[in-house]
Amino acid sequence: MIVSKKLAIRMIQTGLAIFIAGPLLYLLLYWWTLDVPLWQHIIENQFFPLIRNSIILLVGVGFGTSVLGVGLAWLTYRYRFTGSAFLTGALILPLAIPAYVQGFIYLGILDVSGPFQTYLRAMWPDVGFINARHPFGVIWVMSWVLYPYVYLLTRQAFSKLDRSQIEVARLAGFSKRRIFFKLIFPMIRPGWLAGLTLVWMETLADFGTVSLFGFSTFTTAIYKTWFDFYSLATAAQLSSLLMLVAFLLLWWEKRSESHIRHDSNSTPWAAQRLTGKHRFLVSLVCWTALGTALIVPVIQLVYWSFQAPAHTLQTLIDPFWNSVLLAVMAAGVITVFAYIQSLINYRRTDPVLDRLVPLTKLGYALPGTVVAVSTLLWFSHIETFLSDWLHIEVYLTGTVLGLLLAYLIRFFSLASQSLVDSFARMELSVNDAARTLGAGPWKRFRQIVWPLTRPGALAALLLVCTEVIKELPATLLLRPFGWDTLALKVYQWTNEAMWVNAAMPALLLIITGTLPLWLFRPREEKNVKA
Amino acid sequence: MKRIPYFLALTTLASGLFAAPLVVYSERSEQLIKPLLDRYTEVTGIDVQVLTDNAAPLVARLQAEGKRTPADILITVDAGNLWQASQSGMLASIDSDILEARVPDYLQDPDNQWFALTVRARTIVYHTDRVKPEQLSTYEALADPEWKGRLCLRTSKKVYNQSLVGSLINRLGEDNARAVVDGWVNNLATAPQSSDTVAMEALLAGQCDVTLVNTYYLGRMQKNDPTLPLAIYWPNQETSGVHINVSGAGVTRHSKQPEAAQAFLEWMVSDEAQQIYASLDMEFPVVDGVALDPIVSAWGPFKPDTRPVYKAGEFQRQAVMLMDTAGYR
Amino acid sequence: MLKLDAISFAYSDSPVLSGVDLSLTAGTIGALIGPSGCGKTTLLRIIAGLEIPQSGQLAIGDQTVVGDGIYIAAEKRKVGMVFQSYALFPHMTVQANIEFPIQRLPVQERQTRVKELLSLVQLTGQEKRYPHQLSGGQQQRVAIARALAQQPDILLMDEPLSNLDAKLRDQLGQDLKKLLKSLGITTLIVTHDQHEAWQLADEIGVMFDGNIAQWGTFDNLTQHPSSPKIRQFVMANSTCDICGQIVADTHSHAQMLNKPTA
Repeated sequence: MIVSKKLAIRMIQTGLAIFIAGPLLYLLLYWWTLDVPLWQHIIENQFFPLIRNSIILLVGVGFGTSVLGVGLAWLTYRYRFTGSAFLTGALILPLAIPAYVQGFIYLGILDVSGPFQTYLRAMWPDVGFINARHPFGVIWVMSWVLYPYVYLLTRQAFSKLDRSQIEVARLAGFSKRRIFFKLIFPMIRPGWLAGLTLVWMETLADFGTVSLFGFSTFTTAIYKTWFDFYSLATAAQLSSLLMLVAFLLLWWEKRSESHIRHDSNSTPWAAQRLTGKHRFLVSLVCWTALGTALIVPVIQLVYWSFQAPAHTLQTLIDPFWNSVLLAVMAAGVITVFAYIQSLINYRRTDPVLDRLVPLTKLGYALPGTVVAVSTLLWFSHIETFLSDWLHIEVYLTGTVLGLLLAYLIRFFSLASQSLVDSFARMELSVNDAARTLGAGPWKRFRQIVWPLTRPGALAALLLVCTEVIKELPATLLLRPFGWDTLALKVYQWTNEAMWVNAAMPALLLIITGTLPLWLFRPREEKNVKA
Repeated sequence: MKRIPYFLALTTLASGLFAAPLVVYSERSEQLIKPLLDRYTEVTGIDVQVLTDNAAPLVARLQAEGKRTPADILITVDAGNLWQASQSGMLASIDSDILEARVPDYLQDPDNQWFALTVRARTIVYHTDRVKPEQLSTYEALADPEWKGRLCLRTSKKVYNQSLVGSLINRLGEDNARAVVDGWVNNLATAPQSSDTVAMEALLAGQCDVTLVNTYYLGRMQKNDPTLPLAIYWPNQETSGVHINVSGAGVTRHSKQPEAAQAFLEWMVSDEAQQIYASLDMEFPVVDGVALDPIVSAWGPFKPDTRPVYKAGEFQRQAVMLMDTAGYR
Repeated sequence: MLKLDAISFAYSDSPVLSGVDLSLTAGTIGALIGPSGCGKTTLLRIIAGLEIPQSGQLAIGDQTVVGDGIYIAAEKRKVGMVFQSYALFPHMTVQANIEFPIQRLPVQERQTRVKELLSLVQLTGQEKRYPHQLSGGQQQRVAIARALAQQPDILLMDEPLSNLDAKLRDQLGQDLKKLLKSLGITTLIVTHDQHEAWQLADEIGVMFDGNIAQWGTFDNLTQHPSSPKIRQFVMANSTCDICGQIVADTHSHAQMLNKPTA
């Protein structure tokens, strides 16, 4: 009976991993055939420059998000200044902006025909044309939408710092700089890396932003071989290479995961209330960051919205409700599955199953359309199998159920990442203690495990909500008829390069995505030193 | 918009269970096709559902669904995509006198798997202050050194440019076509733009003087501001004619109601539908005698390139490779 | 009260315990000492029901809990366990922690029990506080009170003093022994620290490599170690500086407890 329970857990776990990673592993089957002339062409003309571009982008966005994320987390954690309580939460809101929307907003403002350069030329005709569609532009735009992942996770790490450790270093005569890099940074490193991994996975998956800037990456090559050369097989092969990179990235991140257990008795480090010049400077930095990431883009969208045809808002009511409904359902389903996985995994008694975990996270690093299509193919196999062998007619493609499963594959990683921390902080002995105190599984779950992991579950729920609201490729390909979402409405217009018409749905999308983020925002700590 | 109750969507698709609506997979954006479908429903009482995405994912979906597909009709833009769809074996041949009669031969599939529904011309647009029309002649001439630093082009990743280069290869042979593309790349004022609209905005800003666009992009801009200093030039009038492309449609191979789907296509080439369809995005109808949008008719008549458009598909791969090696991004 | 008979346990391929026998009469305080990795904590977890031995028998009181095809889960055994980290529920107050095992009792009875236990461990008035607001010693006492709440037949303690301030350890050790003796509860303690064992236990077992090498009183072990290895372990590696001397002088157990340590 005991053995069978263990077996059952293994089966659930393996089943979940296969289901989530299945469609992606399915891409590997495409290596059966090889389009040799096409591969030759790709290697001769694109491969290495594109890999170089991808590396430039990863390094650039990694650097940008780290500076912004760690820097802003540090400032809001250490100091109190004008609006710091609001900023602590608001600085994660740019996560609600899809990267390509941020891209077309900034291009709209900064490109040669935009107001900024038009003004410059009017004042100083000699400046000529500044190339806004520059690699730096992509890095800029992506850093400003992705830094909140780093901000969020490093800030969590900051808030667990122990004052006494820093005081020890200070007494030992360490300089402030040395304390930060030698003592504080190693302690927040796991949080920073976890954030960076999410950033990098999103960067690898991005297609929309880079194509606006005409910056070709490895992902561009995947699209190109599929859309232009019509070779789904070669695109799948390229995708599986990308998958390998993502797998290595996840494996590396898992290896460097924290083994530091934070002591619940640690003394929190009191923040400093700033005055005078410092208060002004720090406020300026943080407000400028929020302005660049959120306020300026929103103002631009509002401005465009007023130029758009008046009837637009009415056509957005149904898509709005569809977005909300899908987001809530998907967040619920994904969080439940991720929670079950974390629950089974947190004891880490099974090294075999432990290795399955990175597999379930790959969906986040692949271009959305690739995930969508492999999911589609996966579904059609499941459907055909059920129909031919069991004579059950199930439709997944084009149904809400299918769409939810696709979201599950794509965003599972995000949800389980959010849960990892709260499970890691729960001591194993707490569960054992409850058992020796006569508590059965249900009582243990209800009174011990759930209350301790609820914050993580809530975080997963809200974060997935925002991501589903932004999601485009899977929704586009797998949605039931008539289920337009806000992201789809944005796409409809941006696809035709009609930014002005896209502004209103984009604005509504951002507002909708902001709400769950605001509920989940980090709060300012209460300890303040005058 | 009518929303399908979600429990219905959860369990099954509509196909086969109740009065079957026509299902359209469309690459054409929803706002550019929906009014037409609504009109069809008004006229015939047949409900039409539409799913939009890029051509490649839609074809992949058709292939994955196989016999179980709910789709009856595939609409895509660009002949290259239509050719690929017919190559994938996902379209059925149609035997229709109406379509044969109304759609010119060069605008249909040789095997009757698809028919063009609208024509779009890819032509030269120039800045009226800085370019005299006499300076312009052909697509090929834009490769001449006199245009150095004055040309803007949209990215080679857009199928419109792939078809255009495909037509150059078809017409001039690969070596000559390569020389033309090399010349273009040489003349570029800046890196290729992400869309025709952005390229024209660069013209307005003064970054370059001449570009290649599909006419309706200019139409949209002129609708907003009729005084724009941009004008159309119809190239290659003495020789091959203006490069044209199409949006078109075919009946899916596994459609459960091919007759109804065919009837829909036949209605699409009727005068009424053609007028709605072409005016939705200021394109050209495939049939004669339909009133044009005033902006479109102001551009004047032109001689189109009447080589069969499906050739674009045959040459697409070669064209993309050529542009890659020429460094046209 | 506690009887282990040939208990064997292994993790997938590495054996941890190989045929352990042990018995403890009611009211005795027993201690298991041994180097880390010798299997003593695993043995404690087996008694608590948190691990399942591959073979052997285990009886608590009159009841066989493992063996003869019987297996009684941890939740159903009347065993109280105090973990090395105390494992207090961080989101519950002291009161809620102690009430956890007795939630089925009527409110009145429950509150009385909590009051009694708190006064027993000298924490009266701390009901509303949370674990993180308590000192290490206080946390330990809450853990003991919680373990006692369900009136267990035996009490298991894993390294009871190791998490405490070194200065307080002696004092708290004496308090703990007094408490256990006044309750008369059968207790099994596991520790790597010989001094802790001398101080707290009536009977002591020395464990090496998954077996109890010798079981006996303090005098027994020091005067008649059954092997040179035991002699060496009992005398060396001790935080108790004068133990070697004690062994040499064959002082009695009681005498040693009265002597201050260096």
